Amino acid sequence: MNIKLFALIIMILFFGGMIWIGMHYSKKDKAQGDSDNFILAGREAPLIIVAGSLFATWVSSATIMGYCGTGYSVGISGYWSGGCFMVATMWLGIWIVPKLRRSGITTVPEFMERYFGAKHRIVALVLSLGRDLGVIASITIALAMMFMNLFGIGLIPSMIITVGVVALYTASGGMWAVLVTDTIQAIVILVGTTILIPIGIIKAGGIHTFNTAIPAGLASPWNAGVTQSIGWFLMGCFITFGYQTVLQRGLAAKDDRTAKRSFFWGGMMALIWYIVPFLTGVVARVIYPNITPTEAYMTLANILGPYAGVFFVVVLMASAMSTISACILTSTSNFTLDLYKRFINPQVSDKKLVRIQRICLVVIVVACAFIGKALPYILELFWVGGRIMAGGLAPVFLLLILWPRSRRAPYATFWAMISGAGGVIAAQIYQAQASIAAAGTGGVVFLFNIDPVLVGLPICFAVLIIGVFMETRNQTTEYLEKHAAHALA
Amino acid sequence: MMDFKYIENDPMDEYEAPVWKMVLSFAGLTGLFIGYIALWGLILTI
Repeated sequence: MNIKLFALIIMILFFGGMIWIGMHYSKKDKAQGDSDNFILAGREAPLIIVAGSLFATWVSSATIMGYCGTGYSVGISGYWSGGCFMVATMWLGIWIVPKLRRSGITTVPEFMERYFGAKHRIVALVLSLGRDLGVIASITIALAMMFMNLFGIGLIPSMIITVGVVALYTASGGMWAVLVTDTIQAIVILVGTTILIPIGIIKAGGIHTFNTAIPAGLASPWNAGVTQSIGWFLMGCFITFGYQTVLQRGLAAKDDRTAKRSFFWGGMMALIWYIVPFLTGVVARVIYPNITPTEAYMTLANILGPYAGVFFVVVLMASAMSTISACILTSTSNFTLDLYKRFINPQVSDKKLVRIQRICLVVIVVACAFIGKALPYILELFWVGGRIMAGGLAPVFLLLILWPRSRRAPYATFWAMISGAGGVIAAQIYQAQASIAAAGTGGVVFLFNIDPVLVGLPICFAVLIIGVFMETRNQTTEYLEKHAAHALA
Repeated sequence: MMDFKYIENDPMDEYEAPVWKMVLSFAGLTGLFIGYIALWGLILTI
């Protein structure tokens, strides 16, 4: 059979399945007809669906290809930049998600306005969208490029097809469709990526030959350097603490117990799996020592010939689609609930809001696809927004949940967000040579002298903690009662 | 001028989260993470 015909059949089956699930859940959405059902699956999702979806959300094409490139460059020490997400995910499930479920919120900016005014909501919105839109933009373009390489057609037609499929099943089925397709995609990713390691080791001559052929340092957990490893770990944790897409899965769970168990098992599954792309990178380095890190995954994917290569490209596409669908739904909730419903049309009916959410979702994904065309580094570019969010929004969000006193400090919380994000941006610009160096070597990971998040986090925490103590020290009971009455009004 | 809304008996605080338990659980999960990467470091050097 012709390879392109084979790929076409596989793709029709895969895309058709995803669209069918979207259509199936669109009937359920129509029956329910409310925004809560569209964005949070009616807060009734079961354990296996939430856990599977969490796993698939954390695994994108950038994770597989980018981390494989990182593994090729720095070995398993790159795991510090990935596994930390899961430590934070499991921890969030135990302590933060049950608290958030009691607050009744849908988005992080909405949580900010619960205690403060519109200014906090807007800053939180900008910081949240910076992360999510960066993820969508970088992964939509990667998805289109995979399709383009597979069928040899242009980038624009590839974007229309791939982005069209994701938009169709997400816009029609909402969160239910995203959760179910994510779970199916999680199984495809788990099997499809892990299998490359034993295949590669056998190709390299068996485990002992493979181990002795590993270049010096690539088997060391500290090869990227202690400072960079700690920077990655902190950045990963704080990205997760404020990552709406993950938090919304906890809000979508049917009860507290389901949310906690889903975060634990979904996080554990991902913690174990996350070493896979780095190991794949090491395998690629042993077998193909003269390629660039960006070529590592795709070169290894063709190890069993072109037909198996098609399967590994489908794995990559599954991972991209699961992440995009989750993030566009989160961004849709931001645009429609935090902007449209909050500032433009507060009286909008639920039915009309769902219609607007569907239109907004399509607009976001199309806009991001075109923005993504300008982004050359898939992994780092989605980390730029992530770092800014981690250094500005996440510490404030976390302390508001855990430290009731901070809920009475509007100035400290506001300026902590601004100064933390500003610190990350400044450090990122100051160390721009890291990106230039990476560009020169065809690398996919930038090694900073001081990770920008290590600059932003201390600034944010200092402003927040000192500011909260100063701002709240003279607040009397009468003063608080006055504000409580204001809140009820 | 920025303001705040004081929510007395916030429902969020009904779910208890003792600091020492939060710190211990985070340390435990971090230990699991470090142990796992160290294990792979060992496997690759056998």
